[in-house]
Amino acid sequence: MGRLLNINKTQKHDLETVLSIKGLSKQYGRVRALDNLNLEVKKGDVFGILGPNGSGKTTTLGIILSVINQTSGQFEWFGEKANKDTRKTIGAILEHPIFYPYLTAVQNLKIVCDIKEVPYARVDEVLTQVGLDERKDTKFKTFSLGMKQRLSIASALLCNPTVMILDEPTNGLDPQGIAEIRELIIEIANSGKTIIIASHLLDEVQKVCSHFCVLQRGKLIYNGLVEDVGKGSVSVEVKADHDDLQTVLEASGLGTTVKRELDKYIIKMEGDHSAAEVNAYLFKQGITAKHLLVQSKSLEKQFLEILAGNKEGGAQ
Amino acid sequence: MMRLLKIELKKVMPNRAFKVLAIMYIVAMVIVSMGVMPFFQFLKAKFTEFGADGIDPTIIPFYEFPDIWQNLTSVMIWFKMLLGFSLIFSITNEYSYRTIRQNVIDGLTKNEFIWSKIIMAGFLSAVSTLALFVLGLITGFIYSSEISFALVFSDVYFLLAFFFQLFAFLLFTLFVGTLIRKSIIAMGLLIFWVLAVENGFYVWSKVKNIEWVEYLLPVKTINSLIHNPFPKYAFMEVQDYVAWHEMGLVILWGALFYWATTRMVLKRDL
Repeated sequence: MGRLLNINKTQKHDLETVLSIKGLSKQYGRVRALDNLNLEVKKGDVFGILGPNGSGKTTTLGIILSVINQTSGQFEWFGEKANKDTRKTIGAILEHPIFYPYLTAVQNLKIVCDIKEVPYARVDEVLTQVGLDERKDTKFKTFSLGMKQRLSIASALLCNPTVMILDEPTNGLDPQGIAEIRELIIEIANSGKTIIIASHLLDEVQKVCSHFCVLQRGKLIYNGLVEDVGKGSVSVEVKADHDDLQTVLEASGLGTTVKRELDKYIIKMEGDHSAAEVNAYLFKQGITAKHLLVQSKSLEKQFLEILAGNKEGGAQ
Repeated sequence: MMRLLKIELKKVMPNRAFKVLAIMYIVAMVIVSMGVMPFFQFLKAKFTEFGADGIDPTIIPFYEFPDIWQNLTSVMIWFKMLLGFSLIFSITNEYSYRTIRQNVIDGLTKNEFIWSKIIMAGFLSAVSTLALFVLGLITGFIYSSEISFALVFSDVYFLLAFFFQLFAFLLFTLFVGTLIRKSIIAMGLLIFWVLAVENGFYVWSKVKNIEWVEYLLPVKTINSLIHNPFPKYAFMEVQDYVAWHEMGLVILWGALFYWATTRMVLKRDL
């Protein structure tokens, strides 16, 4: 684990640390929901927390937002212990959107203004920002899920936060809603805000995050840069009209394994061998490839590998 | 403090359950402070109809200074349950909508959250005390045969006792609401506690002749801060003042419920 935690060492500057978590644990009866978690989030990061359901993502966010009492360990916001004003500068949405159903969008946001001590003038600004100004005087309970989700993003934006925390922000939305929310997150990230996103949608994290970590059964099992995903071994997809492409490809010595998927073959490349070499080799054998594609490794693959590796090796 | 009251009023005022309960409470207050004499007059007319001229309920000085203060407060306190329900609603809603969690995430501390409810309880008690004072003054001036500064204000401290009764009771409902977290069950428990448990113990203690049991029953203690004044109109002896030790007990119960509620909210994960 030590190796994994060192990624941020190059840009060490304590002032830039937004959130640092040290040895955080949470015990629910006999279940250890969070086990000695250590994390650092720097200013400007878009930090994804990945993990299967029940891995401790929401518990972690609940603790750093003071709604869940930790069993042991500490966390610091902006280099100091959380005090009564810390959360006023953080915009956070945990799980599904929570508002008073019998109040309108504006009434709900005004309560948040009072809590965060922000002028009411912000209400209209954020409602326009998320595109809810037409429905601002309608009761929250009449909203569709997408509108509810947008209202909670509006609420999180009220205080012009330096940090945003989002828990499964696209949960339960239709594809259009997902795209809209994602757009909004990227927009917010571009304005230089630090964002922490918990999700089990890997695609989402890959599209918006700069850093990510993986939790499993309350333990941190990976922590790194999203751009590092896909480095390392490459796979090449091949299609060609040949009866026994499998044997031909295996005989090439270019890849470690050759796997068949329907009408195409996937070679996991060995060392620095490239797709061009595969093409040249096939041509030499008198075979013309009609499809040749370099697969960049997706976060999903990496994630599943990390989880699988962890199951075999134990949590180290 | 104003910030917390502002937040709480914004949450509660547009709520339908709160509006209905508040209107019921206001109607009850107006009836109690205005309607008793007209009712007595109606009774008198009925009695005359049946030839019972000797009975004249209007000679009871219900609305006369200084009797009016003990009379009004001791009747009006029966309706405290309406305010209690509205407070139970407001606290249990926070749990069932999970808005308490969102409030804390947004930046309210757990302590501030509890205080916003306590301030609301104090606000409701203060407003109803003030309203009762104004209504009492009006009807007192209408029905009193003799008016002087001393007569009007000599027993006005019953209103202060009334304020403490309401406030302590609302702290009790706040405690029940926080403990149970489900509105229907909490209201059920409140009614069951007041009607069955406390009355049961009370009757039992009377039968066994054990005085101190009454002081272990919070709602009984709160209720008996202002003694029932009406037997005196049948020439029986009543306690026509507020006893310090009884006031002390009510404050003690209030403090206990405050402590228990705070502890629960701070210890719990939201």
